Amino acid sequence: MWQAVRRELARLEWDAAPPLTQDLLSEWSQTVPSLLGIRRVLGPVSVHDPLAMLATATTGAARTTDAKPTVAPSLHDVRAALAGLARVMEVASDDDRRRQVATLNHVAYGLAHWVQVRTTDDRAKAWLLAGETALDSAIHAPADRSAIGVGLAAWQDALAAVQPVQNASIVRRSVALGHVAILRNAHALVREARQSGALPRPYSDALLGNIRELARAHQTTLSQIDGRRLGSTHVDQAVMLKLGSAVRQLTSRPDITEPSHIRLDALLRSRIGEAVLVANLTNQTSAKPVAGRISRLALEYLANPGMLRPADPPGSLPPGAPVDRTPAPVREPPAPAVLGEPSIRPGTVLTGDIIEALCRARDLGVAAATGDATNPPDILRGVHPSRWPQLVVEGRQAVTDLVASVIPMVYAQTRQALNAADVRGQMFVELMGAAYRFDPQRIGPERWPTYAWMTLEHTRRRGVDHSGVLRSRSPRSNTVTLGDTEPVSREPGPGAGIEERQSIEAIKQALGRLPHSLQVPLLDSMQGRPAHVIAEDFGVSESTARRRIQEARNSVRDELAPHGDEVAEVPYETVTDPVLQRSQRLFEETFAPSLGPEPGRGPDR
Amino acid sequence: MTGVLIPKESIGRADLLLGQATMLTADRWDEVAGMIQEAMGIVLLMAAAHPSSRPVDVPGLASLSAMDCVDQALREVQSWDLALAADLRDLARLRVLLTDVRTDLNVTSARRG
Repeated sequence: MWQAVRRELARLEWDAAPPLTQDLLSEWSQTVPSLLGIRRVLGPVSVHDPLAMLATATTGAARTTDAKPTVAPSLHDVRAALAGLARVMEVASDDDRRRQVATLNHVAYGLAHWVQVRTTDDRAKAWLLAGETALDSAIHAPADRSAIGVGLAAWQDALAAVQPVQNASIVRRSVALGHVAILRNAHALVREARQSGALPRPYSDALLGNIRELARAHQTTLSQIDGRRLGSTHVDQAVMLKLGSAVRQLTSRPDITEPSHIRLDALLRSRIGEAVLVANLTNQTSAKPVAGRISRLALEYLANPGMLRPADPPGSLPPGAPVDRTPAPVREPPAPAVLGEPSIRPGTVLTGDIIEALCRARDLGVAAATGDATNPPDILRGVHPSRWPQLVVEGRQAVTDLVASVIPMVYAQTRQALNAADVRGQMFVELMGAAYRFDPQRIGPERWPTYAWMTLEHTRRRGVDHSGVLRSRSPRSNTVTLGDTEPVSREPGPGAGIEERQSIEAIKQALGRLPHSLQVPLLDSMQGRPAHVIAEDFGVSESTARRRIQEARNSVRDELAPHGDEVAEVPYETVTDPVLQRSQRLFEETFAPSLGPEPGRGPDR
Repeated sequence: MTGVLIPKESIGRADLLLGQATMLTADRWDEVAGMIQEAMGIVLLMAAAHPSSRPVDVPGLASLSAMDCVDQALREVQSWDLALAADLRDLARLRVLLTDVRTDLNVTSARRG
């Protein structure tokens, strides 16, 4: 699907005499909508999405006044390839969607960087770096959506919007006022992280020092602006409205459900509220170098987000005590949804009305988490976007409560299970998915417990593999099956492809040619049935059953041996033909463990 | 709409006063500065949504202390009709904030002597 885009990206890099554009920024502004077009095919785009932030940053860059045009290779063909892809893009499943989004982010990141390094104007470059950082962050250190992250996205959007009138005093005043509030917030969080040992001391000291210095620079800016004449023109009013809305979001009381390290993480990812862009807009000489230092510190964090750890729990080492400053390992990408603390007792019986209300809260939360404030989904019409983060929290809580209400079922289902812990873990995941999928309108709200039970029952029947992962519904491509039978517990071998398919086909054909009296015992043994049980089924002695199984194996082996014509004379263990080699391995993996030859009775080789 | 006249000029003055207070406390890192900034955020948006058609002024603004700015801003806000709460969504929060800031600044200045 991505071949055309990949080809154009390669051409962009290697074409010795590419067609040129006289204005790279203008071309890039036309290319970003193509990227967004693909992203929209893959699902709703929230303001917090890295591509939405890339679009905002690109708008900011394009609006940089008096920026000198950059001559560079044209992006026309890349744009055409992206547009072509948007037309044919199809998503088969959630997993496929995730993969496509990841691929798109990688492509966008590569392109954003390509454009950024070629852009000559420093102010436009700062904007492009903001977009690139958003993608970098999403790819290399993905984080959960957070309320403050949404506020910071609105802030970046506002900065881009006021870019064309950046020299207006109202812009300098509003931007400086807003950024002072961001800096104070960041200062409090960094200081808290420093005191609790959540952030390395030298790093937090450097950050605190620079934040204080930048605040003083803003103080100077504000002291130089006469506010009395501001706010009377339409331009002033538009600027104030845009920046005022963003500032209001950022100065509102923090979401108490959002831990401080999450808020600090979001601030650092935003390079502390786009300090460099703010310094460019306020045009205060003393602000620029400090903002640059803050930006570098933030990028240092982004390269190693493990340096910020959640605050130590009460009772741990007091501040000042020797602490291991080794950065914590980089966190795993967050799961799509996380079970928090339920607000009800596990197993509480919920009435239909309550289940319906919880499902409604869940749907609002999902819509708020993925919706676009500029084009809200129907369910969120009339709800102010500033309320959306709260809806996300309430939605998660609703799902947690739905799960909690049926959680005793998990224990009931796994009481007799051999690998209970694995099955139970998978059941929690499945239950979470069920809580998101359950449609009270279609199924009936009071049927939630039944729906949950059926989901768990299904999970239990399918079981989990050795890694604790639910077995796939479809038979794996690299296991040999005949009809409805499936060998027990076969882990997928590495690799796949034509040779594997050919091998499997060869084995299947060989098995199919066996007489019934040999084929059935062999297939039974493949399913793990002991020889004495097979013998009972056939009404023969155990030794006869073993002999038939052995004969069947020999017959299949003989069938497979001439499969590679050129290696017909080569000993079985030393075949060099990749197809046959693969057949041999598959054959051994399939048969050997379920029917180990008795000592001294192995096939002659 | 409630039919109550929105005091646009008074909102403009409160915006100037709280902007000045934010500037004066930009190098403070305590809760009081945070509350002043939150109040500033509220009034900035109010002033943007309800701009005054005439330039507004606060005599001697440059010479006011943060405490004076908050005092005067609170007076402005207290002069507004309470029925405006329907139009100005954050009015109640603004009143509470300014009252708290004033109390805290009084305590701080009393401690200083």
